[in-house]
Amino acid sequence: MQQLRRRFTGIVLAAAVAAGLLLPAWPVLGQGAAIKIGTVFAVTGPASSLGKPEKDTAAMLQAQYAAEGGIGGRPVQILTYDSETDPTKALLLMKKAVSEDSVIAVVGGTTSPESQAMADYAMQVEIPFMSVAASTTLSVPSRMWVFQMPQRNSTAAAKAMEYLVGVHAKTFAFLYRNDDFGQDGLVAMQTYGSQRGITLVDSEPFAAVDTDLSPQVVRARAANPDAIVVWSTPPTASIAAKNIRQLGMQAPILESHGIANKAFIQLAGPAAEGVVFPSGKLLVVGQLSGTDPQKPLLEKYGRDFEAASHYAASTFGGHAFDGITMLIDAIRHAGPDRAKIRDYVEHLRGFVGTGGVFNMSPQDHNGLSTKDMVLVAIRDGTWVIWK
Amino acid sequence: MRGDRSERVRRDQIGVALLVVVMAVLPVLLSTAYALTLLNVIGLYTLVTLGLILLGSSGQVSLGQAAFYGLGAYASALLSKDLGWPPETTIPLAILLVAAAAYVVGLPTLRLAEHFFVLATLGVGIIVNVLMVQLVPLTGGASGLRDIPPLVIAGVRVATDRQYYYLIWTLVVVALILARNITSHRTGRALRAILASEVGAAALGIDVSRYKMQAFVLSASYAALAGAVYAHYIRFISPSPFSLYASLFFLIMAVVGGLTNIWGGLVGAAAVTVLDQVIRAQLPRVLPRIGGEYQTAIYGILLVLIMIFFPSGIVRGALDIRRALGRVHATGRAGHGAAEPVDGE
Amino acid sequence: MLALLPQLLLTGLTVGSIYALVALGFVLIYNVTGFLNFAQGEFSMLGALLCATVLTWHLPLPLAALLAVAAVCLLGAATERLAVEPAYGSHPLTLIIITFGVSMAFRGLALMVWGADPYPLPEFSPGPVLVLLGGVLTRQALWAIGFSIVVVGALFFFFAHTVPGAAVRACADNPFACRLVGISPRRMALFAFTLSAGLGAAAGIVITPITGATYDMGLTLGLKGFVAAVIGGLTNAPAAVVGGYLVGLIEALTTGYLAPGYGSAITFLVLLAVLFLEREGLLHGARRRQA
Repeated sequence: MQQLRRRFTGIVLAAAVAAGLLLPAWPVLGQGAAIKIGTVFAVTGPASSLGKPEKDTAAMLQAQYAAEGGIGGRPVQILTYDSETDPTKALLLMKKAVSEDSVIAVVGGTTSPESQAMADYAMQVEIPFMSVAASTTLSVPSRMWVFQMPQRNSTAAAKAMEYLVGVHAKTFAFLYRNDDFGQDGLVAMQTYGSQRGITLVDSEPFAAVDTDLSPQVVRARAANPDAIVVWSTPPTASIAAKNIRQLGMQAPILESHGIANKAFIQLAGPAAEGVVFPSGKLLVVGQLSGTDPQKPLLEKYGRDFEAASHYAASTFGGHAFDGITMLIDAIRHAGPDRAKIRDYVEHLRGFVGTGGVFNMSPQDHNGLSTKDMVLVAIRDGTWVIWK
Repeated sequence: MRGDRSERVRRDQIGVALLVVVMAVLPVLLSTAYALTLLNVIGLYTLVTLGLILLGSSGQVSLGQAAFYGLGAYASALLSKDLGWPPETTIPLAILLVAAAAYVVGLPTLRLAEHFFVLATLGVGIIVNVLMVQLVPLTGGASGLRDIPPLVIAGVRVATDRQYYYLIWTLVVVALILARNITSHRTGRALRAILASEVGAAALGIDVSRYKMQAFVLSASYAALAGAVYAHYIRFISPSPFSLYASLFFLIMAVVGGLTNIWGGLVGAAAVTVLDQVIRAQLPRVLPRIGGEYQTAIYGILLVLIMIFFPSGIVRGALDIRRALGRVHATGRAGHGAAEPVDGE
Repeated sequence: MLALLPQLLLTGLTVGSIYALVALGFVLIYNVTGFLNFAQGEFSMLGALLCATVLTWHLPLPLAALLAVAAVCLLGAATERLAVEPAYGSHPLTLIIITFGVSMAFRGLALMVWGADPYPLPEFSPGPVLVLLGGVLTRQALWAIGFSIVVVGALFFFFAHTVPGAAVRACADNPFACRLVGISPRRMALFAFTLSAGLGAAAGIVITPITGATYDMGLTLGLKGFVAAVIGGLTNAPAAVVGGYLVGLIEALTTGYLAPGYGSAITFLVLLAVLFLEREGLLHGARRRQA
């Protein structure tokens, strides 16, 4: 009998849940034909530290556009979907955005595998896709409907290499997280290094979940490099810095643009001192010269984001910001039409975003260069422009 | 017993017929790319989960199913991309390779008791995933493999969501009929005997290890078929959809549907996938400004509730409810169905 | 190459102490209930993140840690009462999946509350690292190693020399007989969950100064702790701790000498080997419990 009662409770619960979930979407009053932009970010899953600020940026922009009253009398609607860092789900959700929610363009693809799957689909159905992943292959060679918002990993590596040149390093060891981000960085750093006559003497992969990287560090130490390069995000990026200093290595540490948040400094503690990394200018906006074209925008984005989301803005959210604002700019000037948006974005020059000043061309669907990045050093627990 | 069995056979036949009709009509009603892709994903997951259920019928539970799914995908993708073989031959070849791999894995692991077999498959799953990430020259590493050749069947290039829909669901129906035949004939009886008691089955002269191996190899083959089709459908693969998370989700689908009931594969895959999508689509409308972070929590809680209230899966749950309701109406027949047979029928 | 050895051993001990602490929680619950609690790693995550939050109220670290452990104990009890208790008597697999659902729920809630960024905790006794035989060992690693030994000692004493401990063991051996003599196995399960949640939380707090704490640390910690527990035979607390150190050492040595990047693959290869070679667990001769 108890079994039976439990089953009935189950049905009642299930019915209540089903009723709640299947409630029809009530129409938003006063909205005619909204202009819809789809965003697919990895809000949960392994890449959530990137995806969450991206999603929060989209929510912030949605609120701003709603307050402004939309474009040409038509409201702007930014739909957000969570891909859970799964390429299959990212693709599925992009199809939902395109085929059911009739969005006019898509922003997203937090990690490279997600962006790759989404880019293929964008090419197939011919819809503008603004990728927020940094993998070089996303925009090299350039694909008709695919645009890339972050500085490419290769751009970041080229900027990072300027530091190794600056400290007159002849050799370096490379510690990297063994995923698309780290493997991409390894290839780029090796290539640029050999161009500048700086030799990679040892490379050591580690997993995102590793808790101690001393074995990798002692192996790298045995190769006696002039500098040590770490390509990862916190917490492993911080653990690497800590382990390097704990093991008494004094070589300069260069890290990747993946450590551009306060978490790195908090976790690495004193070991963060003197670490240098390439970054977008958002982190050091206060130190930019008054004539820097990005300064007002970066200040406003940082302020607005913190007010809306109650934590500090990061460069990752900035990529979502660039993708969405670039699309809105295109819709304002070229009208809400996929092909016109694409043509407009492809010829966009001097567009000021958080990631840099974009100069797009048919050959370059990223439009950023090493000039849009700065080398940032960590001094006294805060960020300063290196040199 | 006799009556129960023929009722079951009839029910399965009606079920298959119903499935064919519904799946033939569905694309007329739901024709967006999203709906078709969702149905295709459900179809692929049904194949993978059906494999788990065949395995479950022999009393084994695997946490490495995503590894076989992934091996099928990588095998067919690499054979067709690197060697230039046509996908219609690499898909069966991939299934054979994975079946062989499953045989090798099964030799030592199937000797373990159920509890430890789960752990062993979990280990196999993690090792396979690490290899996918690590063997960069072969697999493309974590960034994945792009531009996998499309499937061509009898001169027709299978490319659209709709074409894949018919392909995948034809495979599902065939796989379902095959699974039904296996579980309801000699092998099925042997498997059920093993499920009830391995020692008892052996005493009856059933070659326990042979049947367990058959179930294991077959379950891996189902997953490999789904993986190979997935690779040529999406045309991009990376290690992440084949991780431990995926194995856990396949197991959840199987358990939600009912681990020993062949319909559990279909129902579980559909319920979990649709529920996932419905929560994601509807929740923000009920509670504005909600994000994916809430959804994981709610999904977890729902999983707990289903397991508490429908521990034998929702197919069984629904049958029990019907039976219980019937019993309330006709109290004279009380007692029937109070005992819970283990085989889920 | 031999020059690497001292450091690899010390790293193995550091990482091993982390796994050992998580493994203890598995063993505690397995001993009483006969199933594996997949949410075990989440208790460590919750303990660490709660402690980080309480610290921002300007409380001293020991008090913050104590509050966090107490809170997680309550969560552990709630987990047992709300999610596990209603399903007792179901197939063991059902219970395992329920704990997986619980772990998802906790992970989702943590992401909601704390976001995705890692949180730090200060070292318990800041200072320079210790140099041993040419390798270095952090002070926090000493805390973790010491803590794992103290906990094993305490558990051993508890099970061997106290009445409630004897009751827990009795429940594991024969729940029916326990009921006859007036011990409620369900109350024992509640107790086991509360204790292992608290233990997990304390472990999370001890290791966070080394690793940082993120909302998704639970699953990995859980898996490694679980391998350690299995190697130790699942029912024996000291063996589980040895298992934890063994896993840590194997990972460090393979990373250092064989192939970095294959660390976790080799850990699981060892798990497979252990399962095949000795189904009872490497270090433990007692009969395997029938779940």
